Amino acid sequence: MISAMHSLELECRELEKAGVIAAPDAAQAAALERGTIFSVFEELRFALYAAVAAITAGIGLLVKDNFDRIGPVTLIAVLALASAACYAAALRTEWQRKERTIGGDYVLLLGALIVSADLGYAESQFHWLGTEWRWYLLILAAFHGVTAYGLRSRLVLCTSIAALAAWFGIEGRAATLFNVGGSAPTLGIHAIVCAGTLLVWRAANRRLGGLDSFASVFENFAANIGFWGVLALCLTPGARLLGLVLLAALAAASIFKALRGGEEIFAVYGTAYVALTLCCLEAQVIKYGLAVLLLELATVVAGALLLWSLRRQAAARA
Amino acid sequence: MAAAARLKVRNHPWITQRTGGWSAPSFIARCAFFVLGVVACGLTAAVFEILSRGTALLAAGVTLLAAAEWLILRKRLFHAGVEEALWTGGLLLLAAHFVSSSGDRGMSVAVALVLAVAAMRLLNPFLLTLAFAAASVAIELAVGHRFWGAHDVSMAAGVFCYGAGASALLLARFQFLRPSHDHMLSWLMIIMPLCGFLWLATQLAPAIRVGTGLASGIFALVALIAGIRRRSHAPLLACMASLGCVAYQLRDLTALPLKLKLIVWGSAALLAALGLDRYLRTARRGITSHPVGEGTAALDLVQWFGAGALSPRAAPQADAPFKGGGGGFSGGGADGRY
Repeated sequence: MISAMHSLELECRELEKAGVIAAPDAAQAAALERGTIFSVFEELRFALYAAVAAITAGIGLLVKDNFDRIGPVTLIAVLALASAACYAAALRTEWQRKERTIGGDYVLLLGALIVSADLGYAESQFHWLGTEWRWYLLILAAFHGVTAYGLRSRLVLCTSIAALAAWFGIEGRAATLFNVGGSAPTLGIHAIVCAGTLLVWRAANRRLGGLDSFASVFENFAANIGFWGVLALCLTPGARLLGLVLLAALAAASIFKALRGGEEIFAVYGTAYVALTLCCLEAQVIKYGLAVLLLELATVVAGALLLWSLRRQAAARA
Repeated sequence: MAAAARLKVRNHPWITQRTGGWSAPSFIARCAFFVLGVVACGLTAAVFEILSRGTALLAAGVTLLAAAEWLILRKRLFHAGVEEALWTGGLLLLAAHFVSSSGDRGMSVAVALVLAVAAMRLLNPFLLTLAFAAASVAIELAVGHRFWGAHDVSMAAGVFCYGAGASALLLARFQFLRPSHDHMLSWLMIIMPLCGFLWLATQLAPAIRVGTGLASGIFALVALIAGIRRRSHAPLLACMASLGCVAYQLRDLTALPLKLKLIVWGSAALLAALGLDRYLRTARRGITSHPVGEGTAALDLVQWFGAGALSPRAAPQADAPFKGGGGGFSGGGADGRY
């Protein structure tokens, strides 16, 4: 017997009667509330991610510790076989013209991650690219990009973007941002160029008839990488002006996208990142304690108010 | 409002007319508002610290509470994030003003009470879970070490956490008027057994390892049965979290090195998940592995960034040791470390 928790079935029916939702949607929602349909999709997704993360970490440790005993060629061959098996499963589904399940998606992701580890290890052992070893990351990004399109996988596209970002030297560590005298300015420029590259890729994807579902992946990665790059620039004394100009441009683009497409997440990017960056900048530039605190408080309040307003407008468009 | 949020029609005019002016943003916006609210709390406290040194915490606390109540009562914000941060921050500052001299134990009790009051006022499951976690700290400081003397075992705190999780699992059988109450129990049943495990996980004594392993195993089993019977996600997630605890306690079952354990256990979990995915492709008693209804954007984002984060740290060098897997966001950067 099903003993459900709080049920919103009556409310779903009421929404259907009012014409807010269509009858099939209401029937499905009611079935979900009653428990006659129950999807474990998210639980499976979580379990699959944890499993792939464990295997990838294990492979990383394995190649780090055991290559002397196993030998690089054997290790590279074994990893290549393992990744080939993962790709073969995805190819089989593709040839059978079936839709890949969430399990198939994660097996493919595992294959891509093994390829990344394998190629990186091979390059570290054989130095095919010599001093230009960084190019292996671009090769990796291209390979994952091609397989992402060939097999229509957003997860593999994410690994491709990660490899591309790594080629640009983006570490994704917050500490680097505050390393003003060190790598922060370079990181900032590289991150912005990387974000620009992703936007060009997205435009090409649209023009050349690529998959629509890839667009949001490009946009979200570009927004986050771009804003972190701008933050790094704003925290660098010599590049603050450039950083502020780029911050304004990026924020305007994000907010425009949020308002035009009704995508709330871009309103969040366009306001939260700006408020955070301005607070950091104010703390660096203004020395007087009370003034900077009041200014930062005003910035945060303004950011929250702007986000509230934009959120409503974006939601109205959605 | 809960039904409208679940069906993604919260901004429909029909809904807006009937919510009495109350508004609640989406989960992602709520998180952003909460972060902005927390920053505002810290800045307000710092401003008052400069303006009125002696009564800074009191003044800041009262100001933040007043602002939060104004947002709730006048602007009718519900689960908007910002009022939750201001309300909790304000009450915590008041507690810090009045209880700061009573030591760690008094402070932890005060924090637990403040978080519990805030959770009830705001119907916030996250705050209630934090309140229970703070209560376990208070118990640990009060009585935790007396059970095992020199062994320094946090038994009381651990038992309290497991008990809270089990009670939440039991209470979730009943139907409550508000969905928020269900969410509170859901968070407690997932997080508290983990907290209980963490209190005891560092202990290497065989009895404690067996005990925590058994407790987590039994909890996982009960949660699994409850999740399937009730068609509820929270017990299933609690089951998965507890199974992770069991796996951790079984780490010395074999003499395999860590890397092989990760690969073997990871492969086992992968195969089990794939098997379940395949088995449930055809719905069994209504349970299916297909996504039903629209997924949440927040989970998709987490999945994408998570996939990017799994990419190996790049940049091989001639003599550098290899380090794959588990890199930070966007790989690891071409910086010479591998």
